[in-house]
Amino acid sequence: MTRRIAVTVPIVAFLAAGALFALARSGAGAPRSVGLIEKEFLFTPKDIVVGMGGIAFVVDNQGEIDHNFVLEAPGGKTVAQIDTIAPGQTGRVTATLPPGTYTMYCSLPGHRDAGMVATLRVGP
Amino acid sequence: MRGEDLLDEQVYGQARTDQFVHAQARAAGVSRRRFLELAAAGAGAAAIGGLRPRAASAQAPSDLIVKPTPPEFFNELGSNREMRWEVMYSRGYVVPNELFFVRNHSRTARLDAATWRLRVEGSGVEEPREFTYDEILGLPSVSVMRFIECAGNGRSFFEASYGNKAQGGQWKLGAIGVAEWTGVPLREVLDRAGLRRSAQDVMPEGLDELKVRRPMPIAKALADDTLLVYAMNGQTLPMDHGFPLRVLVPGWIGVANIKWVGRIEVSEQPLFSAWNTESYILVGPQYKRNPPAKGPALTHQNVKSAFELPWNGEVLAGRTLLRGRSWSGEGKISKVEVSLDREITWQTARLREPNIPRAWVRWDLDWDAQPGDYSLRARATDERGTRQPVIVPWNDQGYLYGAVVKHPVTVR
Repeated sequence: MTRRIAVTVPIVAFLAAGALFALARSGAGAPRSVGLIEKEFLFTPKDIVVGMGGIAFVVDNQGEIDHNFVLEAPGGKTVAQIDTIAPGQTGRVTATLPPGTYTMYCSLPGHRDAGMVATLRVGP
Repeated sequence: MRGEDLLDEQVYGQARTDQFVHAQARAAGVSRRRFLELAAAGAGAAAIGGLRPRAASAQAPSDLIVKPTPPEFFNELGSNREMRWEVMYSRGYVVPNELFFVRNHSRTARLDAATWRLRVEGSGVEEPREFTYDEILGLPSVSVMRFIECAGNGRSFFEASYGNKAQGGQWKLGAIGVAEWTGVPLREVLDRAGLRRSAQDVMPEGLDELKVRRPMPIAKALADDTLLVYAMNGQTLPMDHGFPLRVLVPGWIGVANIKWVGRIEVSEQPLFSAWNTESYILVGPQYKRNPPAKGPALTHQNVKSAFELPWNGEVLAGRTLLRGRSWSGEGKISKVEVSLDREITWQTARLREPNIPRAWVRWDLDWDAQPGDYSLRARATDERGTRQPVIVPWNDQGYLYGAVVKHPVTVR
């Protein structure tokens, strides 16, 4: 029913304690993992640097209201998104990204303007 | 005290107050002085059984909402609270403030009326200006009975019809309430800022964390009952409902009734916000894009009905009076029909005054309830001839579910 540009990944609820902040290599062949925390109305961290290739985004809603996650490529095209992440839940999505500066944000009305936006720099 | 002394109003009032305080203090097991201390601190209701025991039994688990929202009055839907329809069975026309549903896009804003200001500006006014709270209170005011309803009220029923959940809070039918709203007609404020004849759109903006804002055309802004509201059901507007000032846009979707308003933009050009381009629009197979919006923007609420019964609850066998309410964003309700046998037959319900446009009408029907499982249906027709349909088209964000709802009950 939805008109989505990118593949929408269902929310995967899992234990959120100790959500990832830092980038980590999980071993040969495994995608890099980027951990993000969403809260009213912030993304943490605000600026992330990662190497090109497959990247797994792990987005943890530690706030009290619903949020979502949108990854926008240079030029404005949406390349990955998670529809709704309820409070206390974690959403995951994977994308293969070429080098560039990407924008991550919550697309619910007003949330981005209120501060829920961060930058992802994908290097060679 | 002699009985004739009570004919004096002051004596009577003081005597009854003393009796009340004495009885409440004794019931709570505290001294009269302690009772008065608690009451003065605002903790009386919470601390002392007997004053408001049901309402005070549970607090919201966070600071999203200020007022108590106990589960016997509300269904919790994330940061929102849905009114339970069964609590209205023994009530009058309006929904009391403590029972009124809460739909916030973020936290309830906590504002100080002493420092609050309303700014009116934009290309559509000649003399942009600010108003203090006292200045607003000093303007001509009116009182009206109108509903405020979330555009997503009934959203959960899309899943029953289509097998998919629409995006957003899964309301049943309790995201509505009727209140007596008192405030200043919006045009009074616009006129004082030198409204230009060329003004097209008016956009109130909230002082909440998200600055929720949504435009309306100048014709709606100038309507007699489009108000800047400062009182609700005879009380100062509660924080959760927009203190110190909210907008009332009768018949329109809930989000148009901006809470905690602090700014009004008046423009000679069309205005847009995320709340009429990204959300509160119709997106689905039957709707076309409407640039810059992703689909047609919502305006009026549609026709709906609800029974004053618990959802999936029980009714005692025997003669009973079924009650419910119906409403429309576009006028009075002219007819309500009820089916007790899964739409094989329909009976016309009795409408009970008052029947106020863009508020609701109460109705009832005699029912000799026999044991068994039932799926009750109610369908209303408004004065424009619009009747609730069997099904409504899908839209991704799940707005305006106006189809007939199947209300499950068991008779024992």
